[in-house]
Amino acid sequence: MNRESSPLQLIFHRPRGTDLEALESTAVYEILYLFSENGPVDKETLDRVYLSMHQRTAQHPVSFNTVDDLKDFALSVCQDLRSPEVFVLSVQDYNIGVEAARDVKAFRELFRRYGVNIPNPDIINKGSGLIGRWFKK
Amino acid sequence: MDISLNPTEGKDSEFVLPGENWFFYWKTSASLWESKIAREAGAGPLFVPLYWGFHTENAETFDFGTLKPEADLVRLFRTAQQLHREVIFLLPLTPVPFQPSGGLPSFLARNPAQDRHGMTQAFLDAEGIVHKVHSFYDPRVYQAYRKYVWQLGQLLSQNSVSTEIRGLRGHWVEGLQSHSFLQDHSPAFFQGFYRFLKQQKLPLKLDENGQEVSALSAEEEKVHSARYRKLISDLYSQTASETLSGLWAGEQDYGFLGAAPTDIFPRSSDNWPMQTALMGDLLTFLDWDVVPSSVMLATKAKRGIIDRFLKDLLSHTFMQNALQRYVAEEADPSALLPLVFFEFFWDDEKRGQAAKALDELGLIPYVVRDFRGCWRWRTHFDFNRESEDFGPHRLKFFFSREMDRNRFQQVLRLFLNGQKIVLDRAGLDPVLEKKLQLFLTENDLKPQSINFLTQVGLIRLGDGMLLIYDGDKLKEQPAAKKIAFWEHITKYLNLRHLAVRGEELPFFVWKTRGTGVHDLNYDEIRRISLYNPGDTRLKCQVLGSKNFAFLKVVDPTNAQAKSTPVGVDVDLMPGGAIGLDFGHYEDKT
Repeated sequence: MNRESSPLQLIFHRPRGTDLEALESTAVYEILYLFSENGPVDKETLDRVYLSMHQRTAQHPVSFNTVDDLKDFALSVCQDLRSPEVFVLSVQDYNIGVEAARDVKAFRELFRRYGVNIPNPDIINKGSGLIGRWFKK
Repeated sequence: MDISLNPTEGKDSEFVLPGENWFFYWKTSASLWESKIAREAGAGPLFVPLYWGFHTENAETFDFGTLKPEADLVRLFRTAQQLHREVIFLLPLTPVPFQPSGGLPSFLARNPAQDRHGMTQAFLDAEGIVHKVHSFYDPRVYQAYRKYVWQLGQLLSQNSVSTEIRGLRGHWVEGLQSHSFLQDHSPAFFQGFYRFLKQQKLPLKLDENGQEVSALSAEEEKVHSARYRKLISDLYSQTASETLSGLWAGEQDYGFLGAAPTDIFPRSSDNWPMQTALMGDLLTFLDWDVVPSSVMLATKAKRGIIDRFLKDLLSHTFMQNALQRYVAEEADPSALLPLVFFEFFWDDEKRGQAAKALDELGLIPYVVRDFRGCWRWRTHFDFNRESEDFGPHRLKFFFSREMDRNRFQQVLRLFLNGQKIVLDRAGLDPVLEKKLQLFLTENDLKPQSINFLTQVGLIRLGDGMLLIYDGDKLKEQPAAKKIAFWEHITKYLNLRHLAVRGEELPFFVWKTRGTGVHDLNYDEIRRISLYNPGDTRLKCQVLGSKNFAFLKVVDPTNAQAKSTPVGVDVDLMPGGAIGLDFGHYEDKT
């Protein structure tokens, strides 16, 4: 499946029952869904990117101690797949967005409107337009 | 294949009659009901799902046509009657994905139902509208539901509307499991659940916010939350059946294609292929004895292989059989109905554990290999069907850990009535063990004992058969031996079937029918229908076997079949489908 040039969308959550005692020792932010308009990102890609970033194999669901780590991973997957950008949403963000979505068009916009946008500098920097120049600064 | 939804496409009728003769009365003007039913509805009953939220906007007043002509259910019934059409009203007993707020009136839509990760459950209907279902666990919802059902009953009885009302229980599929739309992890669910635990004197603790939460282990919590869900499910069901008793025709499980909570992602995309996933979901619904419904899918999404499968499967006879569950399959011998050899009875409250438990016994790997699609999960221990000698060839599997005294007695009665029972005695309560021994002694039954991997006891009485084995011993065996165990059992019981082999198998279903004067001297005709929803060519082989004769190819589309000395070779191009008929005969002694 060719996923090139298709933005990625990632939804993560903090599992129920993760209490304060466990915060320091346990990974608390799990990736629930990572996909583009062509379909889900396959497990092999996730494993490959995770291994190259962390030098150990990923556990599934892939999880992280901090949201920043999760975003770094999302960007790496984005770069691996040459996607232009990834939108990262928590379940709470998703719930707010979906509440307002009335139809399929609004639903498609949900990730762009309510997610954190992480552009892929490899793609953006290649562009000669305004966005490309901005990222080169 | 592109199955995207585009709200600008499609005719109005497509959304009013979205599939399988379902009629969405609230989606069109009442003045058009007659013409739409007359011109566009298919043969057979008209299924009319009732939309609660369309009939009330507050807790006290109801509109059944006073304000909105489209809310006039009596008029709808009379219109159908004039057209000589049977109407079956479907009263949702769970949230449904094809109505706004899951069917609830807007004043009650305060608690969105959530999946296990806390995500709001949202669905795309055939028109591309996003529906968020709301929790049925809010006590206000139940109180209002009672009033609504009472008003509905009054309306129908005062207007002498004499038609069937069935409770609609909605389901969706994830993996190989069917889930109820009552499955909900919203705060409304947990508030009720913790109250339930408190009433049951089960352990609670305080969370960081000082709120009482469950102190059960994760496994125990699963069991008790399922029990609570069942309690609430029964509450809605009983309220409806008691209030509408004169017209009530029981409950019906419907599975909505494209309505798993995560289906909104692929369905909102133009490029995400879903045909293979939808085919898998269709077959899973069948495994769980749930009638599939395509009302959530736009016509465009159903084109091709899904449409072919639905037409092949959801025949008038199939629907009649599903609705009138007490009618024996033999009622219409020329009608093709799904071929079922095995029924696995498993407690509804523990349905999440069923596949794993049977996998450990080697049963799932065996039936997937040799009897794919020819089994049903039965999560309701109701045996009305059996009283009609329903499917005498079916083996009914029971598991002692799921048994209480009442169920155990029912199982023994089934055996006495000529049913074929396979009982795993592992975990059998000592009291029930004594009861079993007493039963055997009283009826002068002596088990024939066979020692093969586990101690197997076989008892026959007339047509009835009771086979008892120890599942705990079987579990300890290597995988290949467990499969060999079931192979021996089915061989001993003369269960004959044709195997399908191939590197990557297409989707297929087996159906059966009785024989007529044109069918030579066969005992039954079996049809395998094969489908390739993917984008690669698939080849497989239906292996020939003694007692079967290949008869003919049925409706090939982008597919070929060739008879060979070892069976029938099938070649399916992407989007291809084909049927093969085999005659089955038993050796005459």
